[in-house]
This record gives sequence, structure tokens and C-alpha cells, in this order.
Amino acid sequence: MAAEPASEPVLGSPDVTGTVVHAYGVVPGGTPVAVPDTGIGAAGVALLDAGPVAAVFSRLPASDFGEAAWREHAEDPKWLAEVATQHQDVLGQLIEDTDVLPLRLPAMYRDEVHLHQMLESESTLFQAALGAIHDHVEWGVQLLLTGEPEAAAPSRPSSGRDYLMQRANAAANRERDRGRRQTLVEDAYAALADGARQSVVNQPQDPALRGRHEPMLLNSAHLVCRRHKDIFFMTVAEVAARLGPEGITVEVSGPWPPYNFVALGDEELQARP
Amino acid sequence: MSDLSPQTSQPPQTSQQGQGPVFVGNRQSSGQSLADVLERVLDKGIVVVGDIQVRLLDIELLTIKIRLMVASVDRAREMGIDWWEGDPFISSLAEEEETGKLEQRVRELEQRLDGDGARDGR
Repeated sequence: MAAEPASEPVLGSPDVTGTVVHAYGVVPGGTPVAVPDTGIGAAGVALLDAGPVAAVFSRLPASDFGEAAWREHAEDPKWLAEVATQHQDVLGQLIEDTDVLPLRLPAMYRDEVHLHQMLESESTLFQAALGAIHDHVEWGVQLLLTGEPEAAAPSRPSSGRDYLMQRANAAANRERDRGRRQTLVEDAYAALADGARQSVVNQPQDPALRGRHEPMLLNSAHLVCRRHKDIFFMTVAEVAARLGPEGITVEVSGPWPPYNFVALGDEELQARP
Repeated sequence: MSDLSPQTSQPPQTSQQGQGPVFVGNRQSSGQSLADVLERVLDKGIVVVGDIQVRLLDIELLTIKIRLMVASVDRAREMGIDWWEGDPFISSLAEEEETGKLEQRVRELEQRLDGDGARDGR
């Protein structure tokens, strides 16, 4: 293939083959990897070997998934949601068997040659990152306020003064409940973090995005060795048992590839020529 | 896992009983919430500055746009979002005058993104 000049991509210009390469993630090279049958847009999924590291990718029609399409749909939640889900579906299958570094969207390359070049130039960082998360997966744990704490029902006020006192007490109780909940949440996170290699707290998710209106008290992610999964889940169960009577529900998601634990330091990647 | 209190967002898997992972049918998309997926693929994971760069919608902006769409019933239905039907909280969201504030917030965030220029390789 003739060498392409290293110029900026021209918006809307189709590449020669009419396809682009979409990369899902980076896996260790040189070992057999079971790639999923299909990926985004029902395209096939293949492995691009670059020695010590490899990339899992699909070739997609440029008209649907090329640069122009991404720019057009960059603010379209429905399109993004669909691509995001299909992207994660591939990674979710890979993480069941393999160490994988998930790539953030859009993760688009002109062709296999360019993807290969990227793998080679970042190979050292990728190898280090793969080593750091070797045999670990990410579990998401969220705490949701789904009910009221079990408490005695207040008696009916017998007088106006009584009513006002109940109101004042209720406000004070709410404040105290909030404070106690905060302590419970912090203790719960500490217990979970104790059972994980690494843990991180993220912003609570927007109720509209989740489709549920219960307040999210904690949105955390935990890097857990595959072998220690059962121990981690025992901790989760203990946390749930403690928080249940407080009206707090524990929800677990995963196993995820370690999205929250592969920040290589963007400044490192950007600084490389 | 049936004896454990925490609810899992995914249906029980054989792998959680200590055996090797087994893929059964299409467990993938069914189990994971869109919010959990978007927060990860748009905001986390590895970013490589390179080839083709497109700056995607900031997750906060995306969330607000979805909220605006929910406020517009027909467009939300088109998107397949109808979980809110019958939910008093969301109905009140749709009626909120806060929609105007949301739109203002969208404009502010868009301006801020333009001012940020290229970041994280987007």
C-alpha cells in the first residue's frame, strides 16, 4: 500500500475502500483470543496482531460510521446509545475470558495500517496497563435510596403545639437521617474498597438517564481479581444486609472491562510524537 | 447467587457460582443499563490521540439532552424511551418550567466545549 501523507483527515472525504476501522479494545498479543462473532452494525470482529499487544476491531461502512457520520451524530443520543451499547457488548464478551483495555468512543481509524501503527507506538504503555489489570475485572456498585428507614410511625398530634413540635422534630430527624445515611454510605464504600484491588467513586447518575427516580447515594467502581470475586460478593452481601433496613438498596453491575482503571495519563499519550 | 441480598443488574450467571464463564444466548445488552454503559464508553476507558478525531457530546450535555427529549413525549417515544409513562416523577419533569433552564444550561455547556477546544483527543 502506498504510504499516505500524514495529513489531517478531510471532512466527508471517503477513504479508498469505503470502510473505516473501529477498534473496541486492546488485548495481549500472541495468545489466542475468542472474539465475538459480530460487533457494531452486525459487522464481523477480528484481531489485529501487533506483537506483544493486539486490537479487537471491526471494519465498518464509512457512510454509516466514518468521520462524517460521527460528526453528524455526535449529539444524537439515540445513535450514540446504539453504537455505545454494541461497542460495550463486544467488550463485555471479551472480558469474560481475556484481559482487555477498553477504548473510549469513537475509537476510529482509517484502516488496519493506521490501527497497527497506533498499537506499535503505544505498545509499551499498553503492555504496562495490561499487566496492571491482569486477571482483574471491574464491578460497579450503586447504592440507591429506595425506601424509608424502618422507624416507628409518629402518633397523631393531640394539639396545635404538639403538631408544631412534630414538624420541628421531623425536620431534625430528616437531617439526622441524612447525616447517618452519609456515614453508612461512606462505611459501605470503605468496606467494598477493602475487598477490591482499586476503587473509585463517580458522580451519581442522572435519574432521567437511568430511567429511575430513586436518589443514587453512591456510584462506585471496583477492580477485583477474578479469583477474589466470591469474597468481594460476600462483602457486597454484608453491605446490603446492613443497609437494607435503612431503605438503601445495593445494585451490582459487571463484569466490566476495567474502564475506570486504565487511565494511562492522557498527557503521556498526547505528548508522544 | 439467589441467597445474596444485593440485586444484580444482570440475570444470574453460572460464573458467579465459581465455575468458568459460560455464555448463554444474548445476555449482554439485556442486562446492562444505558446509563452504566454511556458513563463508561463516553467518559472512561483508554483515549488515544490519533487518527480520526471527533469530539463527542459531553456526558453531562448528553444527559440534559435526553431530559429535554423526555420532556417532549413524541420524540422520547421515537427513541424507545417510554419507561416513564405513568411515572409521576417524570411527568412532573416534563411539565417543569425548568425546561427553560435546561436549555440555557445546554447552551452554556456547548459554549464551554467550544472554548475548551480539543481535549482528551476528542
